[in-house]
Amino acid sequence: MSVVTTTRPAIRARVPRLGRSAQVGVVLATLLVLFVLLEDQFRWPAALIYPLNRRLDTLYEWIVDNQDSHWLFLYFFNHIANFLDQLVFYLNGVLVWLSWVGVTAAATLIALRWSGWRIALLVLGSFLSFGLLGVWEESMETLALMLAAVLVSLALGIPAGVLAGRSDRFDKVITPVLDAMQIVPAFAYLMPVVIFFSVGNPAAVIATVVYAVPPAVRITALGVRGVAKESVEMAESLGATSRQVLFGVQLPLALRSIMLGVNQTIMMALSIVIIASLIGGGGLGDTVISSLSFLDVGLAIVASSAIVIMAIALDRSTEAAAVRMDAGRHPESDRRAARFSPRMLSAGLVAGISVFALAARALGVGFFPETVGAGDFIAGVINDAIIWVQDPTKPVYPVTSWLGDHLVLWGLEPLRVFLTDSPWWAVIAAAVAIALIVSGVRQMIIAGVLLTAIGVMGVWGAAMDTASQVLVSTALTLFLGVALGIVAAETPRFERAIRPIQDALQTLPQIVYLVPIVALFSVGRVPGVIASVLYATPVVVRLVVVGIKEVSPASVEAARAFGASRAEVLLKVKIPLARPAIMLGINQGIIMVLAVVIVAGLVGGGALGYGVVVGLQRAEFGDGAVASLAILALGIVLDRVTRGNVQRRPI
Amino acid sequence: MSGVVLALVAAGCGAQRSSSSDGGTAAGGGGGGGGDCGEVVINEQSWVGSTANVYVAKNVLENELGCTVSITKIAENPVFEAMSDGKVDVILEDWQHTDLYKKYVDDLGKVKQAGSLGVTGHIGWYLPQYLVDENPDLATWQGVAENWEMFQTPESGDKGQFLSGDPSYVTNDESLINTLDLNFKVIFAGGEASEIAAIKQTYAQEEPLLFYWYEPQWLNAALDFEEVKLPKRTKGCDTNPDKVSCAYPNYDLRKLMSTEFAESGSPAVQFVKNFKWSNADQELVSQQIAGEKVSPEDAAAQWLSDNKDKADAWLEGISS
Repeated sequence: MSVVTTTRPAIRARVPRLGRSAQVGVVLATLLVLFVLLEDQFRWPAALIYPLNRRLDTLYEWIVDNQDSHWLFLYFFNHIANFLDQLVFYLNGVLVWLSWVGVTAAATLIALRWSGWRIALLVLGSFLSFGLLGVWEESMETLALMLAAVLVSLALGIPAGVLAGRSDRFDKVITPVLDAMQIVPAFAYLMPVVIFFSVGNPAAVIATVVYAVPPAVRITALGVRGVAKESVEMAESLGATSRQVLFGVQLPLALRSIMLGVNQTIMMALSIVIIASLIGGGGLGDTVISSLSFLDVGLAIVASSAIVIMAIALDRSTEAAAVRMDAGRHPESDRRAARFSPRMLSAGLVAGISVFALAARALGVGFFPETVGAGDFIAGVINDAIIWVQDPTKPVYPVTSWLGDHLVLWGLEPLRVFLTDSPWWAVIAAAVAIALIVSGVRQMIIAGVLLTAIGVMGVWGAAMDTASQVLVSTALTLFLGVALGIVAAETPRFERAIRPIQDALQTLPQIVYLVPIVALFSVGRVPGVIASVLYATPVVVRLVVVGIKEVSPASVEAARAFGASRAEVLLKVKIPLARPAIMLGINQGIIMVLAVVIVAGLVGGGALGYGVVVGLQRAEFGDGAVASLAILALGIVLDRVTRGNVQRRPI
Repeated sequence: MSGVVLALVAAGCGAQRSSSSDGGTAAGGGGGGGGDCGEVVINEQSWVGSTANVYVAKNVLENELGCTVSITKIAENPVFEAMSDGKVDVILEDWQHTDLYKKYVDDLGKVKQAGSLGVTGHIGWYLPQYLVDENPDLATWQGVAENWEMFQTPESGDKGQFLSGDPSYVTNDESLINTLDLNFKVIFAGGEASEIAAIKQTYAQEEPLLFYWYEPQWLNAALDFEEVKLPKRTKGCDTNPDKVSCAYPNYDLRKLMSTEFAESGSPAVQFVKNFKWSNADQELVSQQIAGEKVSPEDAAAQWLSDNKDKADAWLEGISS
């Protein structure tokens, strides 16, 4: 989940213009005055609403009625679905054939070959843990599904990324599409995906690919662009064709970035496993959902921890492989590499896997022995812990319920009233003005157009409600993220300690911890806010750490030479210089919060998230689609308003 | 098209957990005609009662008729699309999604009704028993309306809170609250599990709570609920979804199957039509699963060994 740890964000450090915060303050103060004077007098006028939801309903009806006769389905979508189904089927078949011994051996040996023995041990432990937790089969189903999704994502993403890296025009076209793919909640496109590809593995793969492709494209493009101009020019001056430059220079030099793209794609794919199971994805997602319906949160957490473990194992091994692939790097410790040729190592790898798999098959070893089940025990312990925490007579509940109530009373509700009851034109004007002050004319126009579009679609009130939840969540996320990030940047041990927690929070499906959160904070908007804070904080922490660590040592030395204390260096030198990275953190935090806003819709947050959920669950496609478009528009607006002079997001 | 569908069914279900460990290889057997049962795909929905139906049916289908049963867990609305593609054969408990019946059963003809499950679904407004013991007025909607202040929470603001469950379930509450002019705000818990968490928390503190609830539901055996009397049902009182003025109807829960499966000639088709049990039966199994944390397989087997006569009736008219 190292979203940005290793790719260096392209940030132009720039001293902020004086008085910019003051200008934003004036805008907000004006809006406050208008709110007080004109409260609740200018709701979005009905005359300015276009019934897009009804139009979309009509389209949807047409698709359902024609899906068996229209050529588009017969000759296009059905073939794609077929292909994907076969792909998952064969991958699953390979995993079953290898048996648990073979799969574990294969994963370990592959890690040993490309990522080193430390990672290999980690991978070995991870795969054994799937069996010990009693979810081996489910883990393999999820693994097969994810491998298929990752293969498809890379097959589409890497060429697109190369193209985006070489052509500015293509890059400009594809960037907003990628934004949309990441912001629109997966819930929103489940139903269309089902209509086009029916339920089951193909639909699950497609839904996953939509979410997992963007990092593959972005990081590949970044890598291709990052190849030094001199190398390209030198190749060109030697008479290399464009094709030779690409395959001989750009791709090999960008290999490390591409490997990181693979890493991110895997992470994204794993993070939507649960949602994919709503449309027949099977695997660990099914276990999580059904154990939740039996109120067995412990078992749900055990099954989800298999997802987290899989994520960590794959993250660390692909990351380590990326580091090793780094062209200029030959760590001395890796002596084997010098002793054996790559070809010999690969042959040994295949031989090793075959030996394990054949031996296991000869001995009749199939799935992991079911008698070994630490899962039930751990689930029991977790369930007991949850019961204790929720108990109102114990010390936790009084604190959390007080916090939750006051978050509503002092934060969420006043802000919601402020945004929904202010005159709509004043809100748009204020957003546009802030976008102009912070990010410039272009972004101002985009923000204005999209906000108007939200109103025209007829969901102004819901969008403002959602915006208030997003703003509160973002504020909490930034507070926590910046504080933890500063501590982590200053104390490496703390950083190492929180890394697995960060990974867990980013891959653990939110619905797993919603039930205990509801019991602790009561239903309503608060559980959604907490879920999004838990999801978004790790990214902010990482960005802050990267930002502070990248502050040039010279400035720090200089400050020390003048006798600055450690605290002074941090507050007066490091943090101000890390400001661009922290701004990027704010921006990323908002996007991540928005990605989870759908969860808020599930647990009483209402607003746009609720519209999306209802769109899927009840046959109200139009409403769901409009709510998703509004979330997308809101996401882009918030992104543009806060983007500032950060040029480009790395992911 | 049908060839494509068959291949999809075979591959799509190959990965499901089955009793043998052969994963994908046994997937080719489905779809054959004659008395051979082959594979039956049943969808399990997100509430425990549905799990009880599915595992009891699975037990009989596998042990008495030699079928292979796969279970999918697709959401309530997409599952109709799945049945229409032949990827899911059967759903055993549908809460009368009449708009979907119209589209998939009547218009497209890809899904067929398979009769009543025998379980009557009832939806209503409920309160903890201890509230009504203290103030018997609360047993009617007028009493609840007068005492809205006791249900106030920070989230409901200047109204009383009405706790609802899963946004996807059938609800009229918002409309009912408007028509009856009550000062309440609907707050969704998000799902059955989180609604139960909220209810249990309230019970632990003996605080007021007004909530959307239903039967059959295993929790009804564990906690004492009192149903609020809503206005009597009259003709047309809930035809306009924006102006509902009366209590929920009782739902005769329906079984449905894909047309493809219905015409396959499998003995499982007759079994699905015969399958029928009562609210009490279903709650018994659900309580075992959710309350006692017995595995669904064991809970189903236990109930079947205690109720041989009922299970035998499901096999009537099937030549084996």
